[in-house]
Amino acid sequence: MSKTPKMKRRQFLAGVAAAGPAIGLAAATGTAAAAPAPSRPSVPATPPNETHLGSAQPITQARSGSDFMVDAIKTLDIEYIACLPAATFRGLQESLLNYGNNTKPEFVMCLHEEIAVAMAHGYAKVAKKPMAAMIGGIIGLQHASMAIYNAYADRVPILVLSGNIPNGAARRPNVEWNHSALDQNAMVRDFVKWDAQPTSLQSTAESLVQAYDLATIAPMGPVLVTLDADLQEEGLPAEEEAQLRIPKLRPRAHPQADENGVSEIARLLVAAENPVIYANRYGRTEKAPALLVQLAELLNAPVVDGRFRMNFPSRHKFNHTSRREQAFAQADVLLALEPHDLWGLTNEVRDLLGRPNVRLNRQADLKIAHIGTENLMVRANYGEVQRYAAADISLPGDAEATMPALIEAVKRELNPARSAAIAARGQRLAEMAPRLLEQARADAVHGWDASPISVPRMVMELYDNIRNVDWTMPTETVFLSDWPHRLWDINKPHNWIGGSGAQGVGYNAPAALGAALANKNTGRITAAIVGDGEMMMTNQSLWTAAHYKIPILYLVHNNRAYHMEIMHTVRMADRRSRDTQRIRMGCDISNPDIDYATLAKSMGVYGQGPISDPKDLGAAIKRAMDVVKRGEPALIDVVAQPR
Amino acid sequence: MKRLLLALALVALPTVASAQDAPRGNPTTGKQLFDSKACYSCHGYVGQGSREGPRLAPPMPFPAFVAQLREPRGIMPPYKEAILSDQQAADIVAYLASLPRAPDPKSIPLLQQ
Repeated sequence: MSKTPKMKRRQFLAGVAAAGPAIGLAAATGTAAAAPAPSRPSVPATPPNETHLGSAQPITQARSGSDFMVDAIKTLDIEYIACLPAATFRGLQESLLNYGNNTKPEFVMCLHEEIAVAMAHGYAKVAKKPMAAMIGGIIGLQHASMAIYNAYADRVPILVLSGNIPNGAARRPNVEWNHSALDQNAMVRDFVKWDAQPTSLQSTAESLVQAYDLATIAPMGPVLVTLDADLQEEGLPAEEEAQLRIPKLRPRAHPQADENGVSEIARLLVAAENPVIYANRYGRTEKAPALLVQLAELLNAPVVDGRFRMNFPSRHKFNHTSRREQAFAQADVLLALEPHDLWGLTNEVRDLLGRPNVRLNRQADLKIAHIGTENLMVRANYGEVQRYAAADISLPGDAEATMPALIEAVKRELNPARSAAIAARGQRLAEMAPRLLEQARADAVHGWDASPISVPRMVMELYDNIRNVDWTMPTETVFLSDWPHRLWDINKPHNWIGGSGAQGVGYNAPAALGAALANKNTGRITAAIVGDGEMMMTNQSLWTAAHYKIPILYLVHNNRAYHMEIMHTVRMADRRSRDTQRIRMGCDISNPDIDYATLAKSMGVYGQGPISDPKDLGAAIKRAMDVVKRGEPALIDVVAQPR
Repeated sequence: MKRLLLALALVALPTVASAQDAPRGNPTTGKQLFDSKACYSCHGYVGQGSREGPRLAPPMPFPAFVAQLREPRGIMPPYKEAILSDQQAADIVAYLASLPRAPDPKSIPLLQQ
């Protein structure tokens, strides 16, 4: 509906304020309209007092626009809203807490907007549905922008809400002008799936439902709705509200790949001598790993896991991720499921002078079949689109949604002529599997008793404490040399949720907390390993963990540096035959060493450490696990090897 | 096997050092150099290896080690004599050789899970 033509309350107040000096002067002289204004008034103008304003305008209201916004939000089945309070959504905040009774969504206060969005990021990947993050206008959105970019690159749905005061005449001077914009969404428009800045309550309701709908359809992504502060704060007369409608959210099917194309891929896979399946951002729901197991076992094909999601059990006999290059080198057909970087499956750019482009060792007649949604949501500015590469068959569509059809198509294609070869391949691959695990264990023992503590020792001490319970390890493992994936039995859909998406530093601590929030009251243990540099970006997450008693175990992988940057700078010094003595300047996080246990304690979280003797680590984790099992957060500072 | 092949390949290349004329290394100095020259950053403080660089302990023969430093295979950055002398390389090899042998994984209960 269109807004009833009337003067908004903010406009009225602004008009009164603007007229203030004239009113004051008129009151003082009594002849303001007729007499010329004195060049230097003998007495200063008297500002209007509250009684004067109040006599012309109601000072209370029973029902506000933001109450209606809460009605709309409550139709979306959102459990939590992560938030750092801000004036641009003060109307909605009050409505959520009082009118909405702080339930569905329930407030989760964060101490940085980046934390609020990253929490929602981690939550969505465990809960398999979005939560909301409410972000202050302009400056809050600027703070949140990196986390939004991570979520966009990771194709994770988040309902980001923000506020703005679009009406310049209603803005109070200074702060409200600084925190308002003509088009604040523009700053993140390149990395949200959709955004809106509705200018009526009806449009607000529609935008909220549309935002949720678009966020949750593959390819998923964060969406942003900026809420007009005037609309939040204005009264909502019953006759106006009677005309408002909240559209009903109706679940939609995710896009599936073309049926004929699926049949063609099935024919290729069945006819192949050495088909290999590569899955990266494939696992969207809890059903995904089981479906991929079914496909792999039909074909007796090795699976290489890119690990952007929980795609395939780590100890399945066909998980050949640890021999990725060998598997790819032998492949005559490569099925890429949501690969994210198709070019990188056959090529690389070596980190050498001149950055040479190299074609990797692949069969000359390798056929690549691609199913994915990468090309269904692209933006020009940011490079997360990755380098162009053409597959032999490329089917736009959600790989998980397409998997049942692909399985059926493969079943149709299987025939007695191929069965012997497929069976022999399966036996050969299955015989390799135990050797891959044995090799990982043999590699893990080197430096086992070293101090700083070796990374495989750290991850196995942790695994020893979680393996007999249901667990989630929600943090990135690249900087752990992938040891959890090599050594742990990762087999449940929620055991692993992938990484940040865009490697924006600061993701891990709050995303892990979001995962823990999703796991709260499920009995699952959330055990995160967070680098020290990561932790220092978003350590305020610890306060939120303590405040809301969110059970989570943090191990700080404390290598006392932004270690990736040490390696980069060493590379530069070595290339230039210059000394490496200084390269740790600007990378080391030492002198003083940060005491993470005390940091945790300062925010109400149980803390232990620093622990640098591997013999002490197992007992420390056990003590911390007792805290977590009581429903509270705990942190251990582990002084560990760099990688 | 991969490391052995690498070592053999490197030995076959013309190198600046041979096993016979390898300087005697000092493991204590070698440990200091392993840290200050940032070898640890990819290979770990005890040469255990990581995703970023292969295991170095126990070390490959000195000639192969020096050859890899001077003309690296793969993406390892070069360590020319200007920043790491043959003597210093020998010290690092001595350090890597001084490290205790890794235990049998079957003797570690944590690795049987």
